[in-house]
Amino acid sequence: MKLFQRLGLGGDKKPAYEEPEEDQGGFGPPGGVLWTTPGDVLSDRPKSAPPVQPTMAPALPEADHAAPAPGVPSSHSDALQRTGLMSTDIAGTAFIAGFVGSCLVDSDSGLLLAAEGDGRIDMEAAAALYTQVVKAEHEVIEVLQLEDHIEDILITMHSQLHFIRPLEKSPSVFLYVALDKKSANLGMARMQVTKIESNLKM
Amino acid sequence: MSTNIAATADIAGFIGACLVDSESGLMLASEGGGKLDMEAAAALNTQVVKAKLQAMELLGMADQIEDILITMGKQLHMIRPLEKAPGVFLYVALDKKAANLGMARMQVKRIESGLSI
Repeated sequence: MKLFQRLGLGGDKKPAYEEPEEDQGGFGPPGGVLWTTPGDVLSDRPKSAPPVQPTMAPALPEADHAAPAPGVPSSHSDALQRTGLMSTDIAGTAFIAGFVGSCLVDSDSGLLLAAEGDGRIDMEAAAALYTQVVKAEHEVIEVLQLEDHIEDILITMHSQLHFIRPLEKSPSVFLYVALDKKSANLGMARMQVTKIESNLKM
Repeated sequence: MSTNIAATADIAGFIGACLVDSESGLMLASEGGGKLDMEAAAALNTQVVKAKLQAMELLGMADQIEDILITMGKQLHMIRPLEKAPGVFLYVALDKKAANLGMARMQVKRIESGLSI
């Protein structure tokens, strides 16, 4: 019932829905008063039927019940994000000049946590492969006893720029952004990536 | 053949530099270093370069690395494969406080272009 109220299916419809339940209860046992007025029961049916429909309709939104915005796919991570425990929203990277693709990667497993982009780069593969780069760099720091942490890794290629930025709050997770070199500005992009990274939470 | 990387010592915040053969991970030349074990740095950074090259290959990127800049809390590390010999890279470690990323990048580029293997 709370569900209907939250979904904006007002309380005035609720009693209308409960009424037919009582009618059906009365309709069940043969004999009794209802048998004497079958016409009333039949005429009541269409009246009571429509209120039943809203009970069927919310059955679908029930899955989205936790998602306030309709149309937005609901998932477990969405639920975590709404609680404020987690934020993996990297959509902001798409506004960086020269954007090609980006993803958020768990470097412990090499698995993708979030991805953005038009598919020019296979992000699933990029996540796994760049985890190797990050791990190699962690080894450099460890073996050389630098007692330091990675802030970011910028890779300049002839046609693309790649950024790898471990999250400050959870260093085992990194943000990877690929940009087209022609339209990208290294300094601007670095600042934007830093800003997006600071808003992510694991 | 020119493997003279002495000019890297003039880069602001200079800690150490070396020229590395990424096929073997062995050092071809080194400069500075001090506390930083350049021999180990050469071998370890070869792993970074190899991981990156593998990523590019498997992702089907027909591209070449120009440079890799690694910013850490206290240091800046630059890896720059030679344009003429991509199997060899110049590695420079700088102190972050004293270094200027933009300037250092230009200087490393200039030094790299003077090298030949």
